[in-house]
Amino acid sequence: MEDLSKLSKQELIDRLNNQSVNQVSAESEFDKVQKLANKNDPNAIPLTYTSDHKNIYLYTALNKRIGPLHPENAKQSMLRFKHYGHQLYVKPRTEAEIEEYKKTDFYKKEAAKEEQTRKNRKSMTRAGQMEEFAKIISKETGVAVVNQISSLAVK
Amino acid sequence: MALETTPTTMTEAIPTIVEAMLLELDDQSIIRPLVRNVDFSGPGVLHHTPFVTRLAAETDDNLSNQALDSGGSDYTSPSAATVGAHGATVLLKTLARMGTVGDLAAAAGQLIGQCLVVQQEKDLAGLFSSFTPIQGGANNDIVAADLYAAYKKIRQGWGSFPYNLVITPGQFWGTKGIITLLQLDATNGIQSHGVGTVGEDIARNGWTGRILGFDVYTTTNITTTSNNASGLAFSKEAIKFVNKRDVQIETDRIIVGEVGDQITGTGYWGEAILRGSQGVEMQFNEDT
Repeated sequence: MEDLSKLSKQELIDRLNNQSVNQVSAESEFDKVQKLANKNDPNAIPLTYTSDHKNIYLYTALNKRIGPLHPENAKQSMLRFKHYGHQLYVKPRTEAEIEEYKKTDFYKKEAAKEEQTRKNRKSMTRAGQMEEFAKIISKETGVAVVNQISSLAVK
Repeated sequence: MALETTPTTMTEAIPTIVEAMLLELDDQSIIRPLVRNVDFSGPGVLHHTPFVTRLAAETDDNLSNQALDSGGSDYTSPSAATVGAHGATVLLKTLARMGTVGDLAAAAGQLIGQCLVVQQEKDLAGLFSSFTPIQGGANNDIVAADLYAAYKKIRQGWGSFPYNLVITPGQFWGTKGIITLLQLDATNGIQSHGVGTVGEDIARNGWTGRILGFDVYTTTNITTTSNNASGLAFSKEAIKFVNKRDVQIETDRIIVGEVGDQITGTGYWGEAILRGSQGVEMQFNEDT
C-alpha cells in the first residue's frame, strides 16, 4: 500500500481534490439513475381523478375567493350576487382595482355598516364586565370598591 | 399459480373493492348527509326545483284591502343542479400485486372511495362561500353574536330544524376558534361553565357537538386561505345534492406501457344551492 506520508502537501491536496470530483461525479450519476428508476416504480399505485368539467373560482371586488364551483353554479352565483349589488369576477382583482373599488360610495357605506356591526357584537361579550360592575357599585355607593370586586371574582 | 392476475381473478376481487370503497364513502361523508339528497336516476342532466311564492300578511289594515298579499320570491333563480361525471382510476400493477402480502384489491377500493368522497365533500363545501347571507369577513374573529345572527337569519328564512354548523377544525379549535368562546375567563362571549354545561363538555372532551342551537361538525375539505375560511350555518334545505347514479366499479386489463389492472370508480352527481335564505356563510379566522 502506498505510503501517503511521503507525499508533499500539494500532492496530497491534489489527490484529495481529484477524489472529491470523482465522488461528486459518481453521486450525480447515481442520482440520475434513481430519477429514471422512479418513473417506473413497481411499488407505486397511481390514482388519477378525472371529471367532465372544471370547477371555477370567482372573485369579489375585494378579491375574496368564492368556490370552487361547477360552471353552472358559477353562473347562478354571479346572478345571485348581482341581485344584491355585488359583481363577481373570473380573474383575481389587482391591487389597483381593489383600491378603486374602496373609493366607491357603495363600499364606504357597506364597510361602515360592517364595522359598526363588529363593534356592537364585540361589545356584547363579557369582556370588561367585572370592571363595569365595579364602576357601577362605586357610583351607587360612593365608595371605591374595585379591589373588593376583583378579589370576589378570584374566589 | 394462485397469484396470476387474470381478468377472472380481477372480477372476483370486485366485491372486495366495492366493500372497501363503500366504507370510505360512508365514513368520510360529513356534509352530504346534512343536505337534501335527491335521487335523479331518471332522464335529464339538469335538476330543477321551482319555487312557490309565499303569501304574507297584508301590511295595510284597511278593511277594503285583502287579508293576504302575495309576496315576492326569496330567490333570484330556480335552483338548478347540473349533473357531472366523476371518475377515480387506480392502476393496480401486476408486479405490485404479486409482491404484496396484503390484499391490494381492498387498498384500491379504499383509494377510489377516498378520492370520490373527498370530491363530493369539496363540491358541497365550494358552495358555502356562494351564499349571500354572510357573517364575519376576511379578518374577523368569531364572537357569540355571530352565531345568534346566523340562527336568526335561518329562522327568518323558515329553515326547519335541526340547524347545522360545518366549519374547519381551525375554526373550532384554533386560537380564534369557537372553543375560545367557552373559556373560563372574562374575555369571551359565553361563560358557560359548571355541571352539565357546554363549557364542562369541552373541558372534559375537548369537543362539544352542539352549541347555541347548532349541531357542530368539522371538515378539512373547506379551503383555508391566509388562516381564514368559510364554513356554513344551515338548515337541511339550504343545499341539494343530486345523485344520478351511485358509484360503480369497472375494470380493464392494461398491457401497454404498464402491466396491470385498471380499476375505475365512476359517480354522477350535481349540487346546487336550494334555498339561499336558509344558509349563512360563516367566514372567520382560524389562527393568528
